[in-house]
Amino acid sequence: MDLVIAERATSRRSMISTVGAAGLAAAVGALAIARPAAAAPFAPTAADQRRLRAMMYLELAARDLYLASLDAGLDGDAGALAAVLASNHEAYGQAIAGVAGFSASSATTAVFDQFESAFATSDHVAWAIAANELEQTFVATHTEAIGSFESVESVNLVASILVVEARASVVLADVAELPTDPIVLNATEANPLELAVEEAEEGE
Amino acid sequence: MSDKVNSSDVNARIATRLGRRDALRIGGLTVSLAAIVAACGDDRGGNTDPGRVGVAPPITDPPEYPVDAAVLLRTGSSLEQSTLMVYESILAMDLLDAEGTALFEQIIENHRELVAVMGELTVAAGGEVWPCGNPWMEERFFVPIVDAIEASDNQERDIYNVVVSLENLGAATYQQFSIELTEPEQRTAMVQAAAQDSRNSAAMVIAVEGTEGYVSPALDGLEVGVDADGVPLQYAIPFRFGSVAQFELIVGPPNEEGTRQDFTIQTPSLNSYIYNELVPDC
Repeated sequence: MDLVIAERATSRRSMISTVGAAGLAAAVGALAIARPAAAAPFAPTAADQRRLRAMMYLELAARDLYLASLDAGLDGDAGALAAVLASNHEAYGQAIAGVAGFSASSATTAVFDQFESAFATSDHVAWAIAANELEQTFVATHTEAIGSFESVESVNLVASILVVEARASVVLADVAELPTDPIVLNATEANPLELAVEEAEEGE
Repeated sequence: MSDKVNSSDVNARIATRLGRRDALRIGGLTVSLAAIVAACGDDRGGNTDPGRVGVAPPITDPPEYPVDAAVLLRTGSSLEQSTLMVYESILAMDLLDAEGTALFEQIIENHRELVAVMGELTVAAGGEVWPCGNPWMEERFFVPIVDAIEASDNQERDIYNVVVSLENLGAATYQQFSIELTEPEQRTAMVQAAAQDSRNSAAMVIAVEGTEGYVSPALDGLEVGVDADGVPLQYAIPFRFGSVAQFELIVGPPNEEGTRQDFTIQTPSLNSYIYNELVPDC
């Protein structure tokens, strides 16, 4: 796309940045106003906690997959992106654990086993194709989970996670040199994982 | 006779002319007269509550109508209609190349689909579909933004920033609505819409910025930069957690002092909700 954009300035000027913490604070603050969801419980229920534990395992598995990519020698823009996404998923795992009230511990999941061979590569395109599929799958999984949550706080957190994972999927599609077609832009082929709630219960 | 005047004589004369009581009396009279003159003015406006300084436009109290699911969904419809109004105005300017137009038309089609989704959910929630834009938001930023683009000295840059900002606004709005709605199908639809607008935003940033626009330095705790004209840079991944906070959008030509028009973009709230009591006039 050919647009005439002013060059990026090398000097950085102080300005308000909308970082995650502020966003989360604003989202929670918005809940103070009388809303239709006022009747829903705020803190995660027992059922929510089981789902959240399974989701925490997913997020930490994703972190481990991106770290495996770095260990395999992924470098350049792709390597830098893998490091950012590893940090993101680590933060999501920690945040989910914090909301649900348990410690962020990793567990072996089918997701790690499923994607490990595809992630353990230094080939930028092959890695990005696998990572794009992972992020799209997570968005679909979290979207489905949103409909099952009972508490406001669970919805609030998971919604704030999945919108960034949706953005990450598009970035990864660009690294993978995929066309910006409906498969990428509308995630038409993304399918949710079945949350391994039983596995999460065993890990309690 | 000596010209020198004894200082004690001067003090004595002043004391004779103006006693302490006189000074207090004159001071009090001055303050009283100033208050009367101020009260007689007929061009005063703004809030008269204690603590308010200067003249400010009157504060618009939000309507006291109930907020239910249909209100939020009608508001979603209004946001989509207003976004489409801006995008169709941009298309009519005919400034995008073939690649940019193809992506932009895909994004527009996504918003037309969201219009249908919001309408179906509104009916399911027992409400009446809202077929118009959002009057409050159009008056304050949607229409002025289009005017600013038309008058701009860098229309391509402004179009890019406006599209990314409106996609970010949509994503934030639906993220917030997903918290506020209670029915599973409503919540699911809201996060699907939030994810769609997030992807639209990221795709537009990457189409223009390439790899430099992938990740915001804010994720590493660094400041977000500005371009050579002082306009904030856009990123495909601008934050670690989805934000619903307000943000600024700078559009249009610089004025005589070099300052460009600055809009504060925020998600719909009590002032801009499309309440069930409102009647469309479009």
